[in-house]
Amino acid sequence: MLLLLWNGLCATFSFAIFPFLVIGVTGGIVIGALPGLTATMGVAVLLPFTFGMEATRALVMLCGIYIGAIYGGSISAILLKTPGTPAAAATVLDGYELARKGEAAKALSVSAIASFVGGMVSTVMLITISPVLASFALRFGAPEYFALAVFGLSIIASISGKSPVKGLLAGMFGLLISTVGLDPVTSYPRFTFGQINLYNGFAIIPVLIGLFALAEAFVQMEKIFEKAQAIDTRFKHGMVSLKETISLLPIMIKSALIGTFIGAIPGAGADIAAFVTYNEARRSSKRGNEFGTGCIEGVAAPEAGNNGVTGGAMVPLLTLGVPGDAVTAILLGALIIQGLQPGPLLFTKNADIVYGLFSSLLVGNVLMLLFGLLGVRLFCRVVELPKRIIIPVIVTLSIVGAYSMNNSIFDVWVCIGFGIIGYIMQKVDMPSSPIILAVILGPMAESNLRRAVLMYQGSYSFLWTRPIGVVFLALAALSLYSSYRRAHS
Amino acid sequence: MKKANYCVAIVFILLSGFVFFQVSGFQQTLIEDDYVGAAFFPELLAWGTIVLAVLLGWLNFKNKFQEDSRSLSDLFPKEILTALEGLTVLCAYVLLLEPLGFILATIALNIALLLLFRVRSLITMAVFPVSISVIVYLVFCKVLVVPLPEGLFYF
Repeated sequence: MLLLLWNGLCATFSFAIFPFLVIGVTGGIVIGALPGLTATMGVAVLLPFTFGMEATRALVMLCGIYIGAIYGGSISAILLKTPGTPAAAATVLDGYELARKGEAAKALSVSAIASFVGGMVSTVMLITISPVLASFALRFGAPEYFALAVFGLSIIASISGKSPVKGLLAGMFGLLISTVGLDPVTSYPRFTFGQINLYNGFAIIPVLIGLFALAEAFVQMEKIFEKAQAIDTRFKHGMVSLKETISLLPIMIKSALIGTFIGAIPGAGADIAAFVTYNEARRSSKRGNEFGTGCIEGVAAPEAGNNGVTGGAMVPLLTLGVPGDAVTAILLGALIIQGLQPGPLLFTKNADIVYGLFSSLLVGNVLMLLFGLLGVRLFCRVVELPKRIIIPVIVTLSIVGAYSMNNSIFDVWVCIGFGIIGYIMQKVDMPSSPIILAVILGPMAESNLRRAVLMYQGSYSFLWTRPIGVVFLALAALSLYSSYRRAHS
Repeated sequence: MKKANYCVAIVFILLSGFVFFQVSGFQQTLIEDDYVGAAFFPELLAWGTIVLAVLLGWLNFKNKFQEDSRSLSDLFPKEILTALEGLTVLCAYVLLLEPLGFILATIALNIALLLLFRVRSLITMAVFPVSISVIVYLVFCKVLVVPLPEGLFYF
């Protein structure tokens, strides 16, 4: 295996492949940083360009885009409160607060390092124990997915700030939003009011951009003539220190492992992993109460978690031919187009390509760290612009981001609608992140709960008879209990 | 803030009422045996929402929230007008986006926002709206091949 990996590394650094990896990673970072352009969209858009390429070159470029885009989403999340991708929604919670304190450079450097650790750990896991992980992930049925969704939703209590009740209400609102559109089991149209645009429900990107970016733009507009606002913000350019990085390593590694595990479960992606790892870091941290106010652990955990998914999602793809998330579903298409059949035989028949891919993931993560750290000061310049300039930029990018997902003006109106809702929610001290979490997890919770009830012929015994499900439900109870204790301490 | 909390509770109770009303009109589908039809999940959520809204109202009544003496006028001061004007500009922009095309409409949006924010520098007013519109258009439309509204002049 080591010899194959060495050969893969040599191939990755060859002139025929390395430039494509560089293009992929940089392109991915740009795509991820632009609101509305997700890793999935980036890989899908660039897929046709790889049709004529040699297999390793094509896969290396697409994987470069994947890892770059997942990291890139954090840049706009930290600087503009506009998550470039849904995977960066959890990074906003502490990243933007750090930027507001003038510590954008620190937040961005932590994000780059955590993404690197997440990517490296998950790639090592992919190389070493992928068959074991894949067989475990395949044990997930509807009851387990439902329990995983409940565990994810239990995080709402810990990201609700001062009032868990208001956070839970926001979560309920998010879950109700997720029921709009065709019913996932019977395809019955719900709350669509005859609007064809609503048949697919609300797309996550316009909701995300509206609640975070546009709502913040409206709040800033209100304060635009305040004296304090007129003074240009000056940032500390100090990045995270080596001592701080070392102290963050345990959280990063734990989050990366959780991210890898979640990524290996088909259907659970980087967005879920980011929230789960954020919650776990908050639960286990001595500074749990500082989360949400600009805490570097709150940036490190979701970033390591969401990049941990990149390797994890490839586990079922390469070992079983089952994609772990939307991006790997497109990569599955890319593999088939290149004449490769994912599955156990891929490791024996096309070992050179597989290990070339592993090596390029390792090198790609190093490149991502390099570009991320080199770009920190450049990215910070964006926030140093006066608010009177930055608000129009945020508004323009928000509208383009909402439109570009489905090329739909309807999505733009959705974005504005949620911008107004987010603005009012900020006014009444109601957190908006539970809505995002609920919109992401709602369809997974509903469809799997109903499938499980149907599987058990109306009985709810799956809640206590399926071991994996019981573990997740116990974790959810633990998460709620620790949030309750924190709120009362 | 106390009044605002009551308003929040009432809004969510009304929302739940609306959900119940809508759900009552859902026709039964083939999967109705185990009570997990299309209405099952929204109804469950509506009940949960009512319970939480009543709890919010009760906690508010019992003064269980942190002291916050802000009144409704503090929450929505007169500066809110700037945000409302910004929202109006934004809505006008979305209406103009398809007829005018991305570049022209975005230039107009940025000029309107700069005027709203009382930016007086003519250079900023001339250079910024054009450059941001063209750069975003080139990145999305030409580099990433993501189509944007073309309008009358095809850009």
